[in-house]
Amino acid sequence: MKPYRRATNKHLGELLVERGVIDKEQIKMAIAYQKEKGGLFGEVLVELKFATEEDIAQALTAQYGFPYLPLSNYEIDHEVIKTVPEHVCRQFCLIPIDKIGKSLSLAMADPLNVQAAEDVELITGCTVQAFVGTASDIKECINKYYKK
Amino acid sequence: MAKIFFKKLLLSSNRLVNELRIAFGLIVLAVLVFLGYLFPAASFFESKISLPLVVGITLFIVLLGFLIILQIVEPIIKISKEAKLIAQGDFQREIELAREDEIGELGMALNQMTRRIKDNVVELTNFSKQTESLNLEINRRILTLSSLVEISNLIAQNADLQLILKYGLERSLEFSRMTFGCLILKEQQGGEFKIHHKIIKDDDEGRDVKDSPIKLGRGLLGKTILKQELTVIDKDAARSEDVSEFKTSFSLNSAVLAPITSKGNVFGLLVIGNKDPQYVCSAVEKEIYYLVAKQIAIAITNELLKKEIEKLEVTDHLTGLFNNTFTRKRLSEEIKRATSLQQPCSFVLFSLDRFKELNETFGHIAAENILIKIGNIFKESISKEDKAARFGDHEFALILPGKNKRESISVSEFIRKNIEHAFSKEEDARKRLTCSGAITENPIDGVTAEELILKSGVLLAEAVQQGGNKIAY
Repeated sequence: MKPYRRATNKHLGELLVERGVIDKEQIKMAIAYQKEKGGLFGEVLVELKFATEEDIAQALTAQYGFPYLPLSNYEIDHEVIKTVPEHVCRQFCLIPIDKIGKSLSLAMADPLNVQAAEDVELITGCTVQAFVGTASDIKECINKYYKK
Repeated sequence: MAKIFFKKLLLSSNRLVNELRIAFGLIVLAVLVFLGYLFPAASFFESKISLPLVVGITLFIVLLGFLIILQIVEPIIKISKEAKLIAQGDFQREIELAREDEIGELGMALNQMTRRIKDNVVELTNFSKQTESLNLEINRRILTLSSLVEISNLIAQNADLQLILKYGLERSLEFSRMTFGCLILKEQQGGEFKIHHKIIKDDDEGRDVKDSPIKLGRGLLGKTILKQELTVIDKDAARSEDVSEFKTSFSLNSAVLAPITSKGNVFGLLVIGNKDPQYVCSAVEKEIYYLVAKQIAIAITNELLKKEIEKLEVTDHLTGLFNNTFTRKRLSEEIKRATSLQQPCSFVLFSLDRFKELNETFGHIAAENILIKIGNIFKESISKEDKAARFGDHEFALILPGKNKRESISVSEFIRKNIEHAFSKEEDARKRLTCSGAITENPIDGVTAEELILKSGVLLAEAVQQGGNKIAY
């Protein structure tokens, strides 16, 4: 079996270099930071203020065609929220936003995280439709909806 | 010839010959006056002159001659005295003779000689000073090398890490007269970078440096740690906001920041500096600080390895796989890592079907050989990132970092089939061994190692109860 692997950090880094958002020196620093502190490469870039969350979301949208979904004004049904446990959402930085039949719309900070999408499909029995969301928007939504 | 002699005699500007001639002439004249008195007949005096007058005239003439000779001799004595003093080393002395004759020339020649000697002495002194500074530099380098060797020796002798760090820092300060030094080291727990050692020779340097953690990627220190490159702040260094902030907070004007790294692992930063705004860090100094930082990194690596060795009782002696204690601990760490990387981490618990019966039937040694064989199948079936363990008497386990359930099912099924295949050709049906497995995944099935282990145990019991030779999830 050929295992799925999460898209490597380099891909996002290269993509942002091509778009002129960051330079190679910043990639080097971000990789070193990630090695020390962990976290997603995109989050590291934001933490170090090399790029904004919007830069990353737009880069992912442009490159892979995942639609960008600003979550700030989005209302999510509590029945949809129940489909994915809170700790799964927190670990993979994602949140279910809509469910139509067996199709579950999922806002993800990293839509390239195939494993996370697969896990959600396994838990819910639905097919996942991925959208790009900024990490902070998603975390805010998790805090908002799972508190209730 | 006669012409030259005549010229010398009359036209020479030198007065000494003339003075001697006059002196000689006066003495001859005195003799003649005296002879005129003794032999009046032959004298040009017509009448006899009284004796006292003759004596008086003679003495007067002799005195004149003596004064002229004295005028010649006295400067020579003076020159002789001055020359003696010069010979004794007083090169500042000048012979003062306002004369235009040979004595004056002699004085001038002596003065010129003295000046030349003086210049030579000054030159020699300069050379001597240069040689002295060269010797000092050589000595300093020898001391530097000795210090580096000493640090290496301390490492080789397994000396206490704190002692090595202190020694390394102290020596760093001596290499180029630095007055402040500190080590910023990564905390083993928490991974924060904090100031661990501080040496202050100048009173106010580094006084205000707080012991709060250094923020990675922020400020000069945070950026240097990430860049992993030696940074020099000296007279020639580029100015920036970060540099100014660093100078202010550390009360320093010059500094060298050497990252302490080994094989890509960052352990911290060696910071040394002084108040000298004119300081320029030479290539040799940079090399030395780089070497010291490297040695400190080696010492820290050594310490970490020592601790690793202490904890090395992690394997099962029979199969060579990891043991239960290590696996629990490792699973916990892998879950933390997976969480920070937003990845899944799976745990699989295996049990050999009907192994107790096999053990009772074929004996302990046969059972052990089977366990060794199973252990090898596990080792050969997993990737580098995965960890295989002997979890119990006839239980095995897998930690699969970064793998979700779907990927873990694949790995587990592969192992189940390999075991089934390995024993399928046994003549005795009781030796045809199979296994069962149960997969749990962080975050789907639990957020801690214990939760995953517990849930795997429950699932495994169900799988065994259902006849075994299957993977549950």
